[in-house]
Amino acid sequence: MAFTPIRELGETPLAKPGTSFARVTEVVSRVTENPAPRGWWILFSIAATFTGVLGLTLAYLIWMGIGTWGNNSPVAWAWDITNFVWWIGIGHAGTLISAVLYLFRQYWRTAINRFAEAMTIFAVICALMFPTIHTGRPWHIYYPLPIPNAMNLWPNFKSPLLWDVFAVSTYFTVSLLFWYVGLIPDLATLRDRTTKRLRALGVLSLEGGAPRGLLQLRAAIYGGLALGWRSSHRHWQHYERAYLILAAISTPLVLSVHSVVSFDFATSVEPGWHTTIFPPYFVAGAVFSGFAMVMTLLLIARAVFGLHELVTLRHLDLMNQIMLTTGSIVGYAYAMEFFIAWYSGNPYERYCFINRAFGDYWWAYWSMITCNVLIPQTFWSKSLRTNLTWMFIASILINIGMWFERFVIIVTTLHRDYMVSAWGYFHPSIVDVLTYLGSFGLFFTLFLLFIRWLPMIAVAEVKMVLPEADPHYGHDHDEHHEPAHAKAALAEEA
Amino acid sequence: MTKRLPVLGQASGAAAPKANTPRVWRSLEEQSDPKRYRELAKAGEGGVQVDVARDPSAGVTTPSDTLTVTRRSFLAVASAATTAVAASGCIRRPAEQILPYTRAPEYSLPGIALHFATVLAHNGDAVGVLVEQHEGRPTKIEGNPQHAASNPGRLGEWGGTDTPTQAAILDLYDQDRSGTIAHRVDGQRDEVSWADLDDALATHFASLEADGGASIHVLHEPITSPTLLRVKEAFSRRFPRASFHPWSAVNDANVLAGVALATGRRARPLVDYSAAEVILSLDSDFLSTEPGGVMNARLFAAGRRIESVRSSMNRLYVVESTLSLTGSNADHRLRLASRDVLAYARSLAHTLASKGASALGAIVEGPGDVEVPSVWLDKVADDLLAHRGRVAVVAGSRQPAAVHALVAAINAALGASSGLVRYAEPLDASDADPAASLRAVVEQADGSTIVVLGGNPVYDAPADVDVAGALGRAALSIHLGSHEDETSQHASWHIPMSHPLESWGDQQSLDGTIAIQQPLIAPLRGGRNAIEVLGQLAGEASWRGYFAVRQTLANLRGTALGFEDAWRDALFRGVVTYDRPRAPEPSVDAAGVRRALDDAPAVSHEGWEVVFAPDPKVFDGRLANNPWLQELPDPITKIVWDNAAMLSSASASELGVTTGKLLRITAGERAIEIPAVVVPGHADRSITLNLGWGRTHSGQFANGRGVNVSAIRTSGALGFAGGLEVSATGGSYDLVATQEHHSMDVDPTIPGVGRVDMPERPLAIVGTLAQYHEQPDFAQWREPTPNVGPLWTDVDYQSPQAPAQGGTSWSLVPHPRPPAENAPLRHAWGMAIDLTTCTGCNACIVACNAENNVATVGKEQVARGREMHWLRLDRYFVGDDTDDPAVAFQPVACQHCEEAPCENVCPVNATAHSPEGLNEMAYNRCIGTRYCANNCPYKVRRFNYLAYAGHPTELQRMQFNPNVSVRMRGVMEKCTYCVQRIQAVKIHARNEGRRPRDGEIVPACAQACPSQAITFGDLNDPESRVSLQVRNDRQYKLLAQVGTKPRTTYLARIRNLNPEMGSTTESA
Repeated sequence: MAFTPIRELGETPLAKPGTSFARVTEVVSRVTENPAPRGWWILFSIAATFTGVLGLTLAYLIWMGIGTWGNNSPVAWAWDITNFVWWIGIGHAGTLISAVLYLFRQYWRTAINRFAEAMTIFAVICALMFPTIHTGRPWHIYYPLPIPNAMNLWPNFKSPLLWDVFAVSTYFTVSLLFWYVGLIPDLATLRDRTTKRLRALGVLSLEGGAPRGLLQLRAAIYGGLALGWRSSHRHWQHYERAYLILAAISTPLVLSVHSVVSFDFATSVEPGWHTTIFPPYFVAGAVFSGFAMVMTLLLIARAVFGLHELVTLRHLDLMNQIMLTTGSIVGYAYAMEFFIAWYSGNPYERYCFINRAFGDYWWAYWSMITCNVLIPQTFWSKSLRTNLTWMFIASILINIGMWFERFVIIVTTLHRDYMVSAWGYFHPSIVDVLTYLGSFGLFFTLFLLFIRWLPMIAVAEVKMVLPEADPHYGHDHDEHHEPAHAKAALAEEA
Repeated sequence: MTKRLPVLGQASGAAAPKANTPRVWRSLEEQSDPKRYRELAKAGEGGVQVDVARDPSAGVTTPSDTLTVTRRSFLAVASAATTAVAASGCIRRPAEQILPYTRAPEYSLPGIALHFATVLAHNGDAVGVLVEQHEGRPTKIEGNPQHAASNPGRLGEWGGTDTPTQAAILDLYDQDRSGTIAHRVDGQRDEVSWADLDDALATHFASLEADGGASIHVLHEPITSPTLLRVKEAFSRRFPRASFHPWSAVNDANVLAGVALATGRRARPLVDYSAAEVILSLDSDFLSTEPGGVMNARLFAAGRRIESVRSSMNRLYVVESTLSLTGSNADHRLRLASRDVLAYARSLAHTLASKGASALGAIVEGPGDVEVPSVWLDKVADDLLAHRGRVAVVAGSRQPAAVHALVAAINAALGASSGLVRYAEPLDASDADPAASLRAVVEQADGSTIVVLGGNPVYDAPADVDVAGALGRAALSIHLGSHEDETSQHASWHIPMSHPLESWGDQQSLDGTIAIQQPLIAPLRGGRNAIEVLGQLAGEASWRGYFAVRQTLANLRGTALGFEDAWRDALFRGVVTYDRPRAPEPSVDAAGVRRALDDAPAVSHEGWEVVFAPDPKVFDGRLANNPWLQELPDPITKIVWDNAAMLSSASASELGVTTGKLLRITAGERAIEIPAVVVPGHADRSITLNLGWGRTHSGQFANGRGVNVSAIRTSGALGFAGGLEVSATGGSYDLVATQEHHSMDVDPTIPGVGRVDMPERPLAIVGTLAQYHEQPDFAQWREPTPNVGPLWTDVDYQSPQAPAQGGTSWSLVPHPRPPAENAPLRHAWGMAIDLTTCTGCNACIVACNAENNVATVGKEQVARGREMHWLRLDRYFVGDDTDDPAVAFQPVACQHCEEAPCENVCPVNATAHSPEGLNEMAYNRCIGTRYCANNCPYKVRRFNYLAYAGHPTELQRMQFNPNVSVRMRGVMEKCTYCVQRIQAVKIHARNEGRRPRDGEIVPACAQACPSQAITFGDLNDPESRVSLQVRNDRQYKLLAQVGTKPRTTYLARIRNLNPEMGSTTESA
């Protein structure tokens, strides 16, 4: 009988039974070795076009000034910071999946962690772009860095924006390292497969030529990136230790980054911003939107590259459960904001929230409520939680809703705060829209390059949850211990 | 002849450039921007050379001379070019020539501003000013404390000004001012030289001498210059039969005529508002658009200022159609169509007569035909009678003569004439009616000679008087004007008029004060003023402004003894000392008033009433090309860059329009289309139209802005007209206002939310005198300061100041150094703004623009909410009745918070606290995150979203205050409390070995304020005026509950309500 993959207690297997080591390696590696499918080229050219639009937009923006956006007085932040917070939020799922779930020994993460980590890196790149370009004089963007200088000027350590600089750059660095460390065994696999092909080529055709040169280059790059990985026991021991340490460093970052981002608002004096609920609420929202984005991308990649064996419905179900949980936390936070606004008796605060729901931006508020509170509640139903079409739609709606959440927080607060005489309204300009769309272009360009050239699923880690990784594999040991009814169930599934 | 290097540009020699010859240029500047270069050259700009090559006196340059390239010259040029390229590195810099002061003007120290006293005429009045000058460039205008129109009764240490006076400095540097003499023959425009002009005019006027100049018509603005009056007399001596016609679109002919009917003398009432306890204004905007606005505001504020509960305060009743600035300062205001004001005055006189003012009984027999609330007759009459001798009744100059006659009678009957209301005769005694004058010119235009001395009658004449046609029919017409405007288009000669800051003259103010107008700069674009032009036409070659004015002064004194001293004294102080003839006490002739009432022309009570009001910003259109004024929000509607038809909400719903919808207003066969704006407190079935908009030939900022309402103004009804038809066209127009129209109490824009209640938002705190007496510190209780400790250690502003940290420290921990033993005590700068005396006139905003190089951004950017004003005037409507609200004004600039929310959030420390408590901006450090603007609860920070300062032209740059950085795009800016003025005084005081005195440092806003509502000073000095104000029981801090601890203190606005008038307008 076939050996069963690793399972968590009382759960179904994490990889399709019968998936072998070789099969995993083959499924993942071939994507980087075969010529890109036509679909990839189409997607890539669209994404690259949008990246080009982003480049032109940024050039125009930096040449002309922030006035090309719709920002004004009193709404000095609008889409720029909305996009920043949104992208940062999306970047949260990666670290959560990689680090937190790793520490909690949630093995189901293995199928999606690489994917999610890459998404984190690219989302944080997009996120970092916005605070940079939203400044009036981006050529002075290094001013917030604590660089010793002759003017004896230091950045202002009281400013939450400076905390942002540290928090986000730390997060980016650690995420990148974590991602890279996780990639090393797989990069070595790719290197080895390339050298194997090179050797085969050497036997067949001695004259060399173009394919040979490309393969050599490929071997050199993967070889360099693999840092001499030989898969020795010592390597594995160090690797596991390093990975664990990085996971331990990353875990608090999941909580800290978005908490710090929320301080931008929470430490201000503006009604609607100045609330203590923001850090947990923002973190929950970030995980919420991050998972939604992973879901959107994963469903596409799973379909396009045929990863059904590795990314099973159970993975998706579990992710939907996380979205249900975090979505409910976010909904609770919305309700609590209103309660406190009423309970505090502060007329400015009270007005701010009534204005959010019923003022000029009511449409944004109710879009947010619909997408973020109502949609995830459908995941109480197991049939919807495992319905691919619905979860795809829901994941997109949640991302829209989370964008509106940031928009509502930023714009509705600013457009009507204390001084009635200074109230205003915000209209986005075409440059606002193009910058936002352009950031998608950048994100997807990077993502498509990643899919094309790097193993998008953590090969080594998936192997760990396969039956062959079981120390007793091949010894038929636990046949006696397996309860009869479980055996029957497994046989059925197989 | 010296041998020259061949220089580009001389190649053309004396020959005119042919079509295919290369472009000829004289410098890199000209090469890169020939248009601007020509402008500069024309303006006589230093550093711009005249064309030497074409100047015959500069030596003969033959083509062979310049075109031949010898080996030597080639090498010379080549080596020079190589050196230049090497020396300039990689950056190509345009060649700029500088002219050093080889012989510096006396008294002029680079970097130290000089102040000169002069005078600026406006609206039949003249305000004495001190003009700040930096290295020969006038940059800022301030009131002259010695001049009665600026500082009546020496009520302040510095003089006040109004918006036109503050904005006049920008007019000086107006790019669109004309600099050339235009001669138009049959629509063909030629530019001629001054010499040609002089010849042509001399010939023409000599030919007119034969018949005594019978065909000469001089159309002039009402004369306020004694010298111009003398010139007029000289002209009349040469041309005894020439006729003079005063015309101004805004004039006080009705006042003069009315007073003449009542007292037999053409005079204007001059009211000492500081002594009046009860003031009744009948359609008079005496605080703003009536002549003497600055003087009136200062006197009015003096009678209204409350130092403590023991202070008394005047009470202002206003009866008016449109919500004017004066009306918004009223304690009680009755909205009444302008056409009903006469009837109301009659009714009031009747009530007064029946209650004891028997003198009025002989004038009015019965009440007027108007329905007003009974309290507005009974209680107002009671109040006036109760304060007999200390009351003043004033009427607006748009009201007919009968109203002024009756008002004179009421004032006399109430005993106000004993010093409180004086009568001042105008300088020019001619009794011509402006509209009639204009009609006379038009009727006799055929073959005549028309001289238009200033003004712009083609634009602002009533629609039924065809001035353009008259100019066309004239044999010769001359227009003296600052711009080649609408009138110039029809005149055969246009003569550029010099700015008052460029030419000699003199001006007499309403109260008789005479001041010398001395130039601060040579005419930037050439030009002459009215004295010079008329003097020349009078045939007397000696009519140079300077000598003419000296002669006037000599005549005034009657003797030349000690003349030079008197001249210097007059220039130095800005006021001429002379023996003023004492005006006789007027006696009211009851029969005359009665006759006036009987003869009062009937105004149609059918249809709609239209009121023509001078615009509070651009006046009658003469100030229209001033971007500061264009971008200044209207005091009430807050609209910028446009005018609109103001009407009440009832009228709007009757017409089915809302703000921004187009109205069609028809008077006979004439009609205009103009956007509506709903103004709370406007009279029903009445529409107010502001003059001065819809210019076509003014300049880049004025042309095409707004609607010219003169198109439906007729000479019979300059003030207001009845019987018009008004309808909605269905179209709409984008009006841009800096505040939402119904801010505060009446906010219908939030569905399901309703109003934002004033009690919930104590921003501009308003209370009644009774409330104040009951609880003097009521304002502080409305807005208490939270009782929590600060997050950071409080700065001790009392202890001596630690020295600045010297050297370079790479440590994150600052090294505190002990203060030196002889370290000076610190200052703690603070400001107090008294909302009771603030009239909302906007002068502070323009003063701030001028002082701080604040950029204007244009209508489209204001529509996006990006105006750059460092100081804004918030206007709130207070009360439940949207038709009859009270108004509260609140100037809001940076509050310089002790616990400034903006400072904490700046990641780069670009905004930080000074040791003297100022919240400072370091523009160079700012990266433009805009976080500070978000976190400012007062929303006073302004961001340069685009390059608003842009690349100013040479002329515009001359206006800039050299002590204030011009901000680049991408940085934040805001009010600095005029830190440059603080520093200037500190340096000055330090040089004299003392501390700055109280009142020595005056920020631009406080300086300009005509009602002295703004006080600035050192809070560390317990005796300073600002400290006294801060300790005033009415004080409160704006949004104190946020815990920002602002350095700016507000003093609650107190309204002196008459308890018997009912409580409709009372508010919390």
